[in-house]
Amino acid sequence: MPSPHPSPLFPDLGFGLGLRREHYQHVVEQRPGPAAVGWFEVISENFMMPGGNPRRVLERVRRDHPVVLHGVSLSIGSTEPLDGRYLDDLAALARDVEPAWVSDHLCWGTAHGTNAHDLLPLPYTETTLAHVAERVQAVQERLGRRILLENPSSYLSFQASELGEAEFLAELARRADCGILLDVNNVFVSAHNQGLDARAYLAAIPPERVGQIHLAGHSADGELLIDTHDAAVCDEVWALFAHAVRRFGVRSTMIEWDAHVPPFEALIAELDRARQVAARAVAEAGRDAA
Amino acid sequence: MPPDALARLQSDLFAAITGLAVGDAARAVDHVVGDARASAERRLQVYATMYRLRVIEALESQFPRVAHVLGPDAFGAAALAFVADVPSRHPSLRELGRGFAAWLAREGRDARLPPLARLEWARADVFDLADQPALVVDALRVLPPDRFAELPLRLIDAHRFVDVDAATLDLWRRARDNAGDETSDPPSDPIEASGGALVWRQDVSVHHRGLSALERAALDAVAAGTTFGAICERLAGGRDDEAAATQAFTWLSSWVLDGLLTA
Repeated sequence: MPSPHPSPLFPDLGFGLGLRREHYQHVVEQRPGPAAVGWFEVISENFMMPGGNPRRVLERVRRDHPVVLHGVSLSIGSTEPLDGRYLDDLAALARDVEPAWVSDHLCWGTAHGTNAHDLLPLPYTETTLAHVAERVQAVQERLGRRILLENPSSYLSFQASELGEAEFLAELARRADCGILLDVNNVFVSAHNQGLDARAYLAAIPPERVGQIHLAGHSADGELLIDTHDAAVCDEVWALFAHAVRRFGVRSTMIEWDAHVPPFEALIAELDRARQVAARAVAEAGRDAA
Repeated sequence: MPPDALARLQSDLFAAITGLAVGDAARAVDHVVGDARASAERRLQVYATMYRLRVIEALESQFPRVAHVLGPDAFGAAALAFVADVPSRHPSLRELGRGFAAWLAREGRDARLPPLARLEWARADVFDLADQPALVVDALRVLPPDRFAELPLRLIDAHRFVDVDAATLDLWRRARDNAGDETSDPPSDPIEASGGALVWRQDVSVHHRGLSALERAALDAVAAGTTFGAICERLAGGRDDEAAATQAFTWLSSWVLDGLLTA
């Protein structure tokens, strides 16, 4: 499905899935074709080792499909120095895999040499913006490629923040010349948790910077929504996705399902729904433009 | 926001979320916006809860038998106490449990647990090690008999020797069976482990078994690189050559079938 507003920065890979351990055997043996799964996203850290089954699976998958590397440990917003060994390992993995792109999250997770293994939120200030932009440029120079940063799901905001998250992300992408991995479920979750307007969030994101879209499920924990990635995409997130497609055009889109992972066929069904929602949104946008 | 204020904010938040004394945890709530939907304390609690659950889940995946022996509450408490004492310093969660067996030994709560944890860590460790081409039976079949003595023997990299006893291997097996885990392995009774245990990966499966002291000594030599003839000579010391050769061939066959030797 060609996009009426293609991103000049990133190729349109179509509709893909996050590759999870539960499905390694199925994907390697059944080799789903591009009509079912256009590409796979893998968690970089799960493959940053010398060998073994994960690397073997990745090599087999890569022979059949484009792959993107999605990390969780870059800690781009930390005040700790960038982890040189981690960047070396990531660069080596990227050389081996030749991914369509490399991504991580707008967050931090390290302090005083220790790692919380979480995607912790940042205060959105000019100071933070300058700090993160400099680090993104350093990472891109080290990797020799433009990276994408994903908007996080957030459960808090900071007294010190001067900007909204969307404005921060947009300006960061411009200053650092990086891309945006737009997680529509995270926009929905964060907007709910912080009383924001999700559509206003999308309006602040520059279309040309969006290279990829994530779709996922979430859960409720009392008054807050938690980005659990353990359920189907809900109707409200599908509606927000349709709005995103009308605004940005079609982008490489994938289903992210990390916990209580269902059979592979269930993920394909979710992906097919994404195709349908996107096609309908494109048709509606075309009618509105006419 | 002054440049050093971001570092202070992150230290305080990190302390509040992880319980580690890297910042002023009590001050963290002052950084956070609370509102009608949720207070600042509640919002911080979400991250703290996720941190604890993630740590417990990661360690449980690496030490399922220890978790089974301890039970969920005691294992959860041990996991959190462990990361409080030995905070994670590696970007990958895969490395989280590297010091867990040693920590259990220092804690001294249950003497069964440290060797069980060592065994489980070795199993997790070999899973990601580099693949190598294995020495296969067909290669041996075409080898002339007079060339066997020169046959080089070398262990695959994806192996670990673990100093555990038969009781630990039995505990692992009973914990696996009680958990209804279909993980393959090991052995039928009785368990020989006077030489500890060998853990290795063959294709996508991880295995372990107990070793006699004699086989352990032979495998130590193979790990350093040796020949089949040298193994026979080692065995023949004080025994007749035919018995030594028979034992060596028996070992060689099982090592090849297990994918333990590299081509």
